[in-house]
Amino acid sequence: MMIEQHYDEEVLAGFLGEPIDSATRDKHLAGCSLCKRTLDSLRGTATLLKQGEVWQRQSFSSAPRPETLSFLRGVQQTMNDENAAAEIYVKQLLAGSRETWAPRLAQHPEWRTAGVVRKLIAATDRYNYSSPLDAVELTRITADVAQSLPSSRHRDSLVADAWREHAYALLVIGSYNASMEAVNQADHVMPVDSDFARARTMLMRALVLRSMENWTDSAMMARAAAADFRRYGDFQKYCSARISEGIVLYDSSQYRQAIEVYAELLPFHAQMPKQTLALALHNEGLCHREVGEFERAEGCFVKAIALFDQMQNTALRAKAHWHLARVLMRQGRYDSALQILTPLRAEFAELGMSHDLACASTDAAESLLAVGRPAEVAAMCQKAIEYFREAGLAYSTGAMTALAFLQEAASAGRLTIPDVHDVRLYFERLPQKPSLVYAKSFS
Amino acid sequence: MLDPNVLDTITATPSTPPAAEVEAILPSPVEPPQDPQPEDIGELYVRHRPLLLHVGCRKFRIPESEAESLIQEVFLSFMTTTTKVENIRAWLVAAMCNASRHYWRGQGRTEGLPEDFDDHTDPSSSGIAEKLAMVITMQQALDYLQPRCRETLYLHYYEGRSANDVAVSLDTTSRYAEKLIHNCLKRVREIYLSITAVKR
Repeated sequence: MMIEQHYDEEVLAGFLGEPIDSATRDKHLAGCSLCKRTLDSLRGTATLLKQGEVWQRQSFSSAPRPETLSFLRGVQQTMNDENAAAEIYVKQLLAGSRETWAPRLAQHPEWRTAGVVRKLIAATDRYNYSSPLDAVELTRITADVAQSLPSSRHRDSLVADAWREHAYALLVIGSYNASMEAVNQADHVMPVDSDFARARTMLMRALVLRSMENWTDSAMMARAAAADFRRYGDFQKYCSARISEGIVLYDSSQYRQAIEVYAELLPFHAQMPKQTLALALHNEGLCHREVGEFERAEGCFVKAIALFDQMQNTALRAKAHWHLARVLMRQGRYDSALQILTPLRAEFAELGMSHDLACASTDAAESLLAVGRPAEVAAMCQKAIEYFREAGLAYSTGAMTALAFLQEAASAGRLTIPDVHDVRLYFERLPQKPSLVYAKSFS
Repeated sequence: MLDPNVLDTITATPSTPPAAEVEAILPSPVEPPQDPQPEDIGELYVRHRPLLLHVGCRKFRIPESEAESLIQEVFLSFMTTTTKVENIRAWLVAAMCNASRHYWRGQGRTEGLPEDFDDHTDPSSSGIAEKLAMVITMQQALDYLQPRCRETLYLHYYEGRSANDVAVSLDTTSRYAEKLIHNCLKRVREIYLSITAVKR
């Protein structure tokens, strides 16, 4: 058995006086990560010792101030007490339907505390995703309680946070103007020296502006917020803000610029939470697809699928699969696309993603036509029609009519790709206009 | 109209987007809010005070008593933030830089800014907390060294003198000076690593 011999520190220190490439030419150092790390550490220490700043003696007192210490501990204790009391108040407040919350709060003026505001803010997220209208009322009440607190710097921060939460809840339900007004309120009360909180509000504003299709300001604000998050060492928020910027650029068809944003995130991929990375890759794939970089798009979607799979996020995995299929279609690889689309339609049906099922069905129809299997289109459409009949959705009738058109045209051997595109366009409009009627008829 | 292909990061756990294909996914700016930072604030204050004082007093030339007040404000902001702070040290340093700039803006009404005020801003240096922490830790490590050892390192690394020159200054042989340079470097590194190990 060979025993590995390492350089001792004295030998390694000898490399410090030599040009940096002499270490890379050394045979042992080239292959020994341990010695390389030690040398890097020694080099780091030596570099630090060359800085004038390290030789300046500290002129200020090194001992912590007892009065600051006790003040901060006192504040923390007060906050802990407030939070403990608020835990009970908030449970009572949020019992029952949202219509009962405000009247109940009116009966309990003692619930108007900073702790209650913090606890309500903490509770908001649960409602944003499960019950958006509850979230709107909850955040409205939160802002109301925060504003009723005695005036202080802390109170202003809480009011600003509460308005920002309200803005988000309003954004989720599509009340963009009200959401923007809430962002303005947050900005208005924000203490001037709160850079971090301001960055959070700026990102919120960017999202509202995106919804209002003000792409330029939205992208600029998302980028500015990202810079602040990075300065504060908040890597997760930095990535979120950059991805938001990428999305705004995508929305405004600035695909190359969006790709640049995603490229800037590349060095951080290893540190990103899986969910964020998967979202970034998915969105980057869309941009590559738009500029015709199909191989890159394919690579992004494949990675995103693997990540969504690891997280067992079936809905987003299915969506990424679908995009992969569409990339394959754009490359004329219809057989491969069909291999994805066939099981995918079943998955969409199982997940209740009816609209996606309708669109994926048109993609499958197009692919079947392209590979000379028009006969299978009719059967596929029949299955989709049955699904919509059972689903009973708001736009089921329109969807079934369009699918029936595809089915009849395919059965008669008269279905063309432009027909399929027409139907797809119709499906794309349906969510915004559920009452839209499919008017084209097969003759 | 928003492109429905993009998946929003708005929703960390996006529900099915209601549009044609997939929305570009947005990460949430309103991530699940957390309870206030659980760590004992006193402990955090003791741990980070030297670094923050350094930022205030050295980088921004703020008088120590004023810097101490700013530190208190920074900790108050930290305690009352309604979101989880991912990197406490970086957050505190950035907030201290911000508070220091704000301090000078306020002072600017009554007295002149320092001449090198521009150098005091914290442009895009995202690693400022790390850099300052290294400098302060090295200052502490050097304080623990014997005076002769400190002088050796000062002469060799800061003034860039050769081992022969160091030997002359310390009235010893070149060979011994070389040994001294190596041993002192080793010692200061050990102290530096022990300080950082304790701090983590």
